[in-house]
Amino acid sequence: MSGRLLGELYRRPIIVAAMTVVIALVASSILVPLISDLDASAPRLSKRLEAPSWAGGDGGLLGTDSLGRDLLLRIMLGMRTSFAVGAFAALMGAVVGTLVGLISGYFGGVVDAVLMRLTDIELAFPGILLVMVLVRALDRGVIALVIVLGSISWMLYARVVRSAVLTLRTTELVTATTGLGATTPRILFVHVLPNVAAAAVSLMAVTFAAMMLAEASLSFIGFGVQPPDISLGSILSSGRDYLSTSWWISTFSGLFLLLGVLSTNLIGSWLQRVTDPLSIHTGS
Amino acid sequence: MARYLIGRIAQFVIVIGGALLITFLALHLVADPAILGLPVGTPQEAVDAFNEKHGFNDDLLTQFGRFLGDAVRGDFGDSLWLGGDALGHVFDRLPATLMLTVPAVLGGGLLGVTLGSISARRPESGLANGLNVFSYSVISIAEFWLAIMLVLVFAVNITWLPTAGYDPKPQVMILPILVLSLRPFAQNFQLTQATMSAEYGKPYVLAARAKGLSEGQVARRHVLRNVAVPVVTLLLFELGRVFVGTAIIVEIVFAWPGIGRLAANALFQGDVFLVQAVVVVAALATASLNLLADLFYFAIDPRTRHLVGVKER
Repeated sequence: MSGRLLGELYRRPIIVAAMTVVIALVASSILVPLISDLDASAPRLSKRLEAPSWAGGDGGLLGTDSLGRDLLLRIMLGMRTSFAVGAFAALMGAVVGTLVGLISGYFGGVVDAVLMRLTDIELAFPGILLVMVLVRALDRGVIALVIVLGSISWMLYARVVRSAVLTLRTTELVTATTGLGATTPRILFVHVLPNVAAAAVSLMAVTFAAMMLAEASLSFIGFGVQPPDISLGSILSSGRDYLSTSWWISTFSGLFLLLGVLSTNLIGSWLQRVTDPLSIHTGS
Repeated sequence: MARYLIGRIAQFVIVIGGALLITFLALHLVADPAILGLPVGTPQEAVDAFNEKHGFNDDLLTQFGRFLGDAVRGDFGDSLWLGGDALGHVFDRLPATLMLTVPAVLGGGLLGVTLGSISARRPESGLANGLNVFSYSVISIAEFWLAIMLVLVFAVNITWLPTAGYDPKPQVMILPILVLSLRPFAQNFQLTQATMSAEYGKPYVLAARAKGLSEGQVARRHVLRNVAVPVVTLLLFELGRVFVGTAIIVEIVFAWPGIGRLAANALFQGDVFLVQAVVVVAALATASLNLLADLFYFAIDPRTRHLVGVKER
């Protein structure tokens, strides 16, 4: 398995590049705020809207914002929020969705019908609008965002895991373990779960990227992360008023977001391809 | 047929009811309409009078029953923020949103289908590879960032276009429509390319070629017809998603007075009645488009007819 995975990677340099970018972004979002001696929230009025040093300003590597705060430091803290919200929301969705999918696929019948109709309904909802209503009701903030985003992302896992369990249920694996007298929880968690885990994990990378985008979008329109917490979306939004004079604020915060989301999306869709047994046989 | 229709329409009703219930619970149980809608520091007497006036003191079940009863008759109460009939405000803003979303989804979607079918016929060409990379990037890009960058380039640096504002003229609408059309373009491109490539490997294409049809005839008479179903389904689905999703962000960036911006402002103002009216209209719109997509699927593809009565494939 690992040998084949390495061979796959060798043939896809773009995935290696995407992985490098993600690792670099995670590492610098942890390290830069640790190393930097600047304060991410204290205003420095003498340094308002300074251009990046390479563009002739006095604002450090990426310039400063309208309160004179270092943009590099703030963007790195914003990346931290993106990764944290993305990871926790995707994890929450994965745990709930996998459980629902396991139960729904294994037991079938009424449980299955009810759970699947529930996912139908949730999939048909006016997504972002409802998220905005819920986040507003929970009084915004990072925690509210993780809970709401996590609770809307489980349906996809439920469907994918359910269909994997449905195929697995008819195999000798389940017949044999049942025959050996294994209890239902043991069959589900020891034998079935490892076999559907790959599908859930690759889905996680894709939802992770989607959650990062959702967090930034919501923070951009004021429904996400609230100050003093920092989000790429709110940095970007604060740069809108200075677009004609200080282009760097909105440009760089968005560029880092794009880098993060694009890389995780590439890795996610690649993982889905290599973990799908059908695509290996056809060689595509 | 009848059973399928009844089931599908029941689902439609449940979706709308569910959206109403979640919105109602979020605004009345999780949050408090008085805290949302009144300024901080409002004296207690004023809060009590507010709750009394709008019936927020009754128990939740009574309130929800009253809300549902009024909603069925199209009465969503008066907007706290703007005054006047809440539903009226939503319908006033509806044309502005449709003006952007319909051309964006149809234009972007049809271009995606066209280029997707060309790429499917020449899978390894430079055009196909380039479009593939482009469509992946488009899906990863944050629309609000793209919108701002386009404003920066076309309205701030080279002042060809206005930055924002409401004016139904082509030069004002081109940037928002462009931003809204990218995702439908990418989704339709990828779907058309994938399904058409799969169709080209099937025996009926070989048969059509063997009887001497030109490649154009094979595509138009045989392959495209099989691809039409998933593509039209996706188009209708995308229209619903853009209508209540991307449009909110784009309307905010371009200060476009559609229902998305109305919804965001209503939430900021804590205008419970206006929020409920917007959610209902949005849920009706998406659910109707989804229903339409399913019915279309059913009507056009003879292969789905024998599936009636079969629960899941």
